[in-house]
Amino acid sequence: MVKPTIMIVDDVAMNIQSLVSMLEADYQLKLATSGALCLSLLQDYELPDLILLDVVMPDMDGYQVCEAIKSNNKLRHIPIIFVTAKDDEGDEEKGLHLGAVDYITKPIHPAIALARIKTHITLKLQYDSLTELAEKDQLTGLYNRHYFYDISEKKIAFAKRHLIPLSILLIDIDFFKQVNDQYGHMIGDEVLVEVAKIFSNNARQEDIVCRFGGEEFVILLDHCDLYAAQDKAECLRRKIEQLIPAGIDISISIGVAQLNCDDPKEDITFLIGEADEALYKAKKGGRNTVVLSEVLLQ
Amino acid sequence: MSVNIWEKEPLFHRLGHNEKTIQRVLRLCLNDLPELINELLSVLKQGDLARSKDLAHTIKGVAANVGAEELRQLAAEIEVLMSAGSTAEALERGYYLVERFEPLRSQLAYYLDSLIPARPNIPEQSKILEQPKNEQGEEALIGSLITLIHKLQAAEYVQLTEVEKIHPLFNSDEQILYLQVIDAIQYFDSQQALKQLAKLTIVAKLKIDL
Repeated sequence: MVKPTIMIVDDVAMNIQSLVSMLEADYQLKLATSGALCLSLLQDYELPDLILLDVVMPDMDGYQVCEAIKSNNKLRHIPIIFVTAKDDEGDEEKGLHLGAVDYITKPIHPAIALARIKTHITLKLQYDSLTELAEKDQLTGLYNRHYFYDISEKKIAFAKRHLIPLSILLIDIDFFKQVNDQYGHMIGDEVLVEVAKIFSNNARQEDIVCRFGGEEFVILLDHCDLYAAQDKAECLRRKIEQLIPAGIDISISIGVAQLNCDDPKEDITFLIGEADEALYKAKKGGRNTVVLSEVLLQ
Repeated sequence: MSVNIWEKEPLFHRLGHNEKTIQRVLRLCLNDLPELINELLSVLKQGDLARSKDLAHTIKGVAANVGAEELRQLAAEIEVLMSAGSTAEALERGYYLVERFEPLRSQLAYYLDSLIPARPNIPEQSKILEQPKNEQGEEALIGSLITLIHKLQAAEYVQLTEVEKIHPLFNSDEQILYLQVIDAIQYFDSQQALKQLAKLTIVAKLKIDL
């Protein structure tokens, strides 16, 4: 089992060493000797499950680091415990008010500190599991429909404000009912998982790949116009054609639509409607094909 | 009531009686405290309220961590005095703190001297030069150095032993860089360690290419 990760932020090497000796057996550790370094590491690398943060540090103190983390949507869920020689009630109150989950004063009493750290790590891991359950499809591990609608609204608003091309692919596995009827639902599930893997392995980090329901998938592509989306769709179609999951020949049909940034009425429901019409044409036209929505083309 | 200069037992308990860690912490403390104390005295003389409060606070934390109770109390007093703007009184306590650091330093040094040094015996220069060089060894060395670089770039904790085990292949020039890497890692200064490791990797790579 992978050990949870704790980031220790302190400008004094000796303090880090004391914490390291206490934690290294049970946790993966990341170290930062300043507030600025801590924030920069949080931007670039895998996020820790907990941060142990010193308060008094030169240039940027722990309170400022905490504020910066808590005001960042990507980082705000990381629990922070202040570890400090500041034993004044006012300081503790300030730290907790800024969003820290706990406050440990130096000298550290290992048994107590370890118990508190363990509690907050457990809570963080439970939070992560719940988030995973709420956002992801259990079978394929892709985002679920609920999350897709939530994130799409934000992405569309951003695209419209900054006039960024944004497209979606609505994908359906052809004759999937026959797969289920002929080979059973277990094999059907295997096919869905394999197909989902192709979609997610060929997506960029910023793309949203979602299982929309049953054998239907949707991919939201940022910074991607209709023709680039068509190329992407064509590439996925070919990959699925070659996949042969569970030894079964399958194919997909794809409807492609691009957001019209100038139309204030156009939202995710409208965009899916356009892609759905294109998908319908792809199905009617013989399947295993990509069809573009004509709305923007007109 | 007299205050203990050094309360050994709570420190040992806190560090799980791990002798190697205790030594490392005490050595870091002995390296860092004189500089911190000198700087504190200097900013106290200048009447720099903010910086002297921060430094007193840092010394308080370091002292608390090693069980240097007397020093901790003095630093805490200075922190409070500076918060209240009592600069003259704080400076007086600052001089006293400098004075009281000496018996603490003696006690810690005496304890450390009674133990086997924590740092490994790095081969003497002559012995390093005697070592046969082979390409496979150099390539494995580069691999280890690159692994270390990746860990440091991701700010992952690097145990000193991970660095110590790759040293025997170095020649004398590389040895200097290597010692700088060790120092930087002991101080968790990943930027400095990365800089020296990059140089070390380039030198090692050049040897293979030549």
